[in-house]
Amino acid sequence: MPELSQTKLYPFWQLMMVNIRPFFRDKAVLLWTFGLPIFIALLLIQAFSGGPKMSPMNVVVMHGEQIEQKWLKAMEEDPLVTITRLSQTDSIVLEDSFASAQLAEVISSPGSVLRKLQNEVSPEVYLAPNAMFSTHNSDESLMARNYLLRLKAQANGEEMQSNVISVKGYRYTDWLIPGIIVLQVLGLALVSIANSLVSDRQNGFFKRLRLSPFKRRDYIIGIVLARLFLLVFQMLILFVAFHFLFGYTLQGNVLDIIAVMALGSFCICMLGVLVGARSQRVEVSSGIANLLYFPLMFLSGIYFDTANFPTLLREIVSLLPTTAFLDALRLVANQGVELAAVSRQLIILGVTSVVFFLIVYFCFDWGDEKS
Amino acid sequence: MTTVIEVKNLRKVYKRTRKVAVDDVSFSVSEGECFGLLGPNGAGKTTTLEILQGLRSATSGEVTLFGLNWKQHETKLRGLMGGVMQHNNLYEKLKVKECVELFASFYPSYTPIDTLLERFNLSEKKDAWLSELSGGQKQRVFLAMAVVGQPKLVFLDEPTTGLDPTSRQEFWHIIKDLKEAGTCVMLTTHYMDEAEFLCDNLAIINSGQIIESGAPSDIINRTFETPVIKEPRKATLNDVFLKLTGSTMERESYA
Repeated sequence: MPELSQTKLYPFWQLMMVNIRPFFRDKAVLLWTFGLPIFIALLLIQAFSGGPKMSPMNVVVMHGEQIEQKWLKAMEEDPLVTITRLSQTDSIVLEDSFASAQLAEVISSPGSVLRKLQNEVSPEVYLAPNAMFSTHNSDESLMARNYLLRLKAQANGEEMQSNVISVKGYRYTDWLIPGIIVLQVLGLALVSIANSLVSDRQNGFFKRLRLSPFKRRDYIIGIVLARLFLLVFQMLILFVAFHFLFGYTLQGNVLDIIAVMALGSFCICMLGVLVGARSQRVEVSSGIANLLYFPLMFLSGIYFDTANFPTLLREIVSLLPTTAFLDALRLVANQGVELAAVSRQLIILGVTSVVFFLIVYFCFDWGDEKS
Repeated sequence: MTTVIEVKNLRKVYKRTRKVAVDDVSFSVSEGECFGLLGPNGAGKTTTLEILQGLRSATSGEVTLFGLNWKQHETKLRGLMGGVMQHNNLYEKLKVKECVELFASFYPSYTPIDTLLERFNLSEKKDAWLSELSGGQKQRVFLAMAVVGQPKLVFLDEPTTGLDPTSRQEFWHIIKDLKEAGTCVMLTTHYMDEAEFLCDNLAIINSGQIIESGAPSDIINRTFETPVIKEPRKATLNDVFLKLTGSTMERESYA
């Protein structure tokens, strides 16, 4: 009778380890899987964390315009402000353009003094008799207007402070960091997991598994747990780096944060498995993953607040797993709310995960003719 | 002897190409027997094998393994089988022991990993990555993965293709051991010497149909009538290579 071992080996655990070990044994894989995303995450935070900066501006003073001398002097002395006085002729042309609402044509006409200033001095604001105009967007125009009005107030000896109160959890960096975390999850869970599945299928690994009594659920659980482990590893590095580089601290209960991150990551992992469920080639799975990656990245509010979206679009976007994940993470990690306060987001993540799992379970191509 | 594989009037037509891959094939294989499917490329060997493995469905005909059919007893049948495919790949950065452990985990009981690796002459390589192994060593690892759960039926699809003669010899003796332990082996191969050495019975398949079947010696006797063919064979280049490289046709111990 042949010798037998009864020592229990758990298949999901073995499948998980099979998916984890190669990452740590191949330096190139380790670098491109962990090193690069971490580097990009730090770079993104660095690039975005400063918030919008005041640009130099060009203030145009019309001929005969009466401006308070103190204010004019303050503007002349300010390094960000360049004063340009228009001749009488140019002032008349400009004033006429206000009346005929053709300001844009006048500014952009090749011989225009204002066009010349625009090209040479980085013009931001035009000071007209009754209004300020900017060739840039409303935020920059507003900033420039506030800046000039503050100069005016200071020149007149008035106090006008407008500093930002820096409260941890509410800084722009704090708002950005959960987005970067979700972006990392999206990269590793969606793209990497889908490509890995297709690679297994192409190499005949599934067929090989089918020549044994393995259980499908063990494979899916194994590959998802492997990615969750790698994500934990990556997140630890990122949180430590964010703490020391940007003073980021978690404001909420750590267990609540872990719960949100685990559910959110699981959901995105299942989406990755879904993308790789039937694809026969890496080119196809990469294409589908990219098709999902960019809308999910932009619509979920990683880089900008989606509060200004139209109501219907905002409602639709709130149902996306990345949006639910990010909203919950921001609230729990930054504002320290309890899980009950993000129950809507958790329900969205839970239901989406179950739906993804069921589709995967029944539609996965295991390399045989029946699936 | 108990019948392990029973195939009756098996037919497979691929829907997309309408190609008849297997046409009215019938045979049976008993416990502890090694049965070979021989034939040129595209003859229908792998299709037949994949139907037996439950990876493809038959257009018509009947296939039973251990008296059970795939439709109703898939879970049970998968626990009774193992296999080595024509092209075997696994993550290159996995250790030998880890690969075998993975497949051991799928079975309720299994051969102790170290014992199996020793039997397959892989003990020294148990901590080596797959990428560090020779073709013959890799193939032995894949066979170890297939038999670690002590399946009663093992499928081998061209298992020694591309191996050097020494590796093939080692592989053959492992298969012989499996047979002696009562495992039923279903083999496809292009090598006639392999079929002759390993198979108790075989079927030669061409264009999806069995054109000859039976024990190798019976097939030879039926096919050739000149006595020259029946004389003890002369030494071949294969024997020269084995002698010069220190290997012999004598059986080495894997027990």
